Amino acid sequence: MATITKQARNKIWAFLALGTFVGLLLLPLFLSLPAGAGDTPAPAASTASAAAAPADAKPVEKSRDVWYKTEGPVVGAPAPKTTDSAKDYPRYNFESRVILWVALQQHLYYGSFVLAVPIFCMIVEYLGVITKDKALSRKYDQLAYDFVKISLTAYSITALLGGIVIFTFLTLYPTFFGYLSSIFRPVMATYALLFIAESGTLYIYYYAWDKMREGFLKWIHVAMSVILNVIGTVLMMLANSWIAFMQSPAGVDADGRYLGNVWHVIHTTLWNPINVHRLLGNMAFGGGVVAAYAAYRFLTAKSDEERSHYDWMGYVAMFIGICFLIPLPFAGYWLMREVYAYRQQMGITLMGGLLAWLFIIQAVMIGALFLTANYYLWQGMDRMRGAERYQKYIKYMVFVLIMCFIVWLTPHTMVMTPAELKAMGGQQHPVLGNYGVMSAKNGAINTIITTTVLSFIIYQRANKIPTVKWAPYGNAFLFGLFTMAYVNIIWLAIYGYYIPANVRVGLSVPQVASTLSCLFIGVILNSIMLKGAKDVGPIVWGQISVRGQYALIMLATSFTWMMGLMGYIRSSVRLFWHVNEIMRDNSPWAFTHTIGFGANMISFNVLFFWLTILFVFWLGSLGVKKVPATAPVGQKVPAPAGSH
Amino acid sequence: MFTGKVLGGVTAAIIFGAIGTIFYFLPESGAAQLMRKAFHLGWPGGLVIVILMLYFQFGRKNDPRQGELVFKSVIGLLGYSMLFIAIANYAMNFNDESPGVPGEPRFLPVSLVMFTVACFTMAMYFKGVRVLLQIGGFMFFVAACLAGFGNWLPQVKADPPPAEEKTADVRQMSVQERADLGEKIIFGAVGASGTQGAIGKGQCPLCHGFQKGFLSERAPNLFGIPTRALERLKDPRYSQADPSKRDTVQKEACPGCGTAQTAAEYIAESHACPNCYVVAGFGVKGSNDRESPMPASHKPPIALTELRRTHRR
Repeated sequence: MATITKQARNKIWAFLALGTFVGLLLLPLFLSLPAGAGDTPAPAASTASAAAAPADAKPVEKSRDVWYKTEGPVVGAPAPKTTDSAKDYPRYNFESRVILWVALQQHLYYGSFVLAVPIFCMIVEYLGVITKDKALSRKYDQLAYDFVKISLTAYSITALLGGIVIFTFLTLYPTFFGYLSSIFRPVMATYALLFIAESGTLYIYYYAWDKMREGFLKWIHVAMSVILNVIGTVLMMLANSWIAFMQSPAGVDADGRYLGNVWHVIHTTLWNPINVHRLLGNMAFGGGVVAAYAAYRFLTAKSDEERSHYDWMGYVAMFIGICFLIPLPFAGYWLMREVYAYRQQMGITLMGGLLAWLFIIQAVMIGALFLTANYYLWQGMDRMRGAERYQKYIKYMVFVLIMCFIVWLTPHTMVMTPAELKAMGGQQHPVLGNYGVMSAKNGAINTIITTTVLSFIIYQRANKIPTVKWAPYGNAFLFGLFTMAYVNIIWLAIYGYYIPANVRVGLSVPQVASTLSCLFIGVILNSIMLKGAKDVGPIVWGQISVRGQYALIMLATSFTWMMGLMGYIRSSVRLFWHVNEIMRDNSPWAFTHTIGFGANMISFNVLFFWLTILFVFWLGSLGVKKVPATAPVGQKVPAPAGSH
Repeated sequence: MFTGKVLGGVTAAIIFGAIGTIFYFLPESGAAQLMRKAFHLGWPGGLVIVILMLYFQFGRKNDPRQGELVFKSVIGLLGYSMLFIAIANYAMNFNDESPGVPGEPRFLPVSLVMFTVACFTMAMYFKGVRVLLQIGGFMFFVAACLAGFGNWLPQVKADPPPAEEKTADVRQMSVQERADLGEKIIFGAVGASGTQGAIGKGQCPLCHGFQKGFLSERAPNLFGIPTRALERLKDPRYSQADPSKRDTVQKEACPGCGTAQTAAEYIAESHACPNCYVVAGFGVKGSNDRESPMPASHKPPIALTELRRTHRR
């Protein structure tokens, strides 16, 4: 009998582990299959069952789904009609909603972080595997390991916060939570199972890092990260189904009675837009947090080697974060479109009514984020000799960005007293009001994004001179592409003033197409042109200004604040409903807070999160392996941005 | 010319002087109350710093760093004081915005500014934790800007509508009483019809303008509707003679209801059956004005009760 080598044994174990993970992943789906079968009625309502039932049996009551409009058997109790009493709303001398707000927000921050970081880890580890340069491969591997190490501590805190959230719900909103869990029972069970699968996978993934460092086992390890992220994403989607149900319920009748189709209560109209928006948002947020960590380590670094490593780490994290930030407004647009399609009143409350000012704050933040990202790129050009060729263009880009930023944050209409209204001569300011309309704003944000892409392209070629034969044509094409994009975006923004609103909405499509063309065609073409390009000078990682690192911290803080803000907006739009139009909130806190109060709470949550995450960073730094000194300072270290 | 120590010392002297002045001349002012609260909350830590300062001053006379240590204790006390004044501001001004509850949440961003100042001040002198303090200070600064902006904007608190509103029989009401009830349903309160943004259970102003010249892009401006309703009835698209000939997704408010004959009936029909007639240009996108985006007022999400709708007819 042939003896099995150690390596072969490892492979067998790896396959077995992989099979177990896949099984764990699929198990909940199998378990939930009988309950969720599309539009098929549940067994209780089937004709066969009815025929087999005794003649004196009580007929199965049927009712109509509030969203899908399909008939289904009533299998749940109506949504409870709560009263302002200790039974439905126990209280502890403090606004219960605020306590829940803090617990949920902290859980969300950590949850987002631990979902995003393994995705980063997967990308970076994969880059390490496919990179042929051994030194660089090790560097990527170390970076991925550092990422997962940070997320491991954060994962425990996430679980702890999840427990706190459940206890908070149970103690402060028992009736509502009882109703929600009665509907989502199978989903919650699946969630718990997946959570166990996620934990197991994460721990094995982390602790098997060294054992599975080489060869085929490394590929198994990378595959494990894929599984880890699949589980994480499904977990997020299941949790999203609860909030989507609260906002746009389905699968229940007008009285809130569950109609037996679990897929309907999961797959509400806003579920998928929220899933996509949240996934992108989590990635941008995760990028911000890791970049802030790198900035912190850079600023406290004792050696040039350390500075070099953490400068690079910050750049990679920022790069990934921005990659996901760019499509975020489009995902947000889709979400809002679906909100309007679901309930126009809800959309108007968000964008033109009670919560509209919060969107002005959001606009300020989006503008600030893009400005900061550009600023970081410009600061990053300090690392490269040859970048001075492009410095003279920065002032023009600053001008364009600032002008667009101002237009972007100009409000459309404002809440005013009659006296103010009279003094201004109408709802809109006679001059500034012209810039507060959607036509101008669409033009402004698309110009901001296109300019950011331009900044990135300049950054990519800062220390290089393309040597391909067709470089002049390529440059001319790039110039033409951006010129056409700017002309198209601005022309359509102006044209939008002369056509009706319902037609104007359609103009956003060609504007976005221009922006995305610059993003994809521009960046890809530029990367191809720079293959084998002549180096004007090396990228000296670590030679970035301190201001550049503060730009990363600014990005991270702004991401965190914006997440809190958008979460607040999404939740507030239900107004006085626990479950929109199904279960009313009759607690003393059913009112909608002022913007100022919301801003104070968001700030508190942001700062609380950062205080605790600094603790996590500190824990992470206790056992950090020495940074591999494979890339001496000044050596070229490519990053996943084509040329850098 | 001025060293950091001198500047820090002068700053500390000015701040402590200002505090003393406030306590002496304005003992009952808000600032004095805030500082008293801060003292109440943070005196043990302050006492420890003072003891340390005294120890450095009198217990380490031969230490060449004695002056620096005493100075750092003063700066530490200053930062600590600011920290607790900021916390006291939270303790005194945070409330749930319920009527009559003391406190003014709009002052809270001031605390964030104080945290920022405290962090940066201490970062100047405590080199061991300088970066951490600077990063913290920067984050506080960003949060202060955003929270300050949020508090600077117009503040609107939206109360939920009463769960069960008991209204007298509208048929027994005078015309004025009916008008007042209508204003309350549409704008939320009697006399609120002139205020932009005022909105009631009916939610009409979300889309409709009600005053002459008010922007009304989503739905027709209802200023002058009693007169204009009669014009609508004559519109061939309204098809007053035969509702079955209407090119809309819903022909009648209820089977056999027919069409409106008066302006009041037209308005009532518009509430119960917004799809029966859609003003040109205001239909659901892509429906060619065959379908209205407005929900029927007696169904969710508006869900006015029968009584309210009766009144509106």
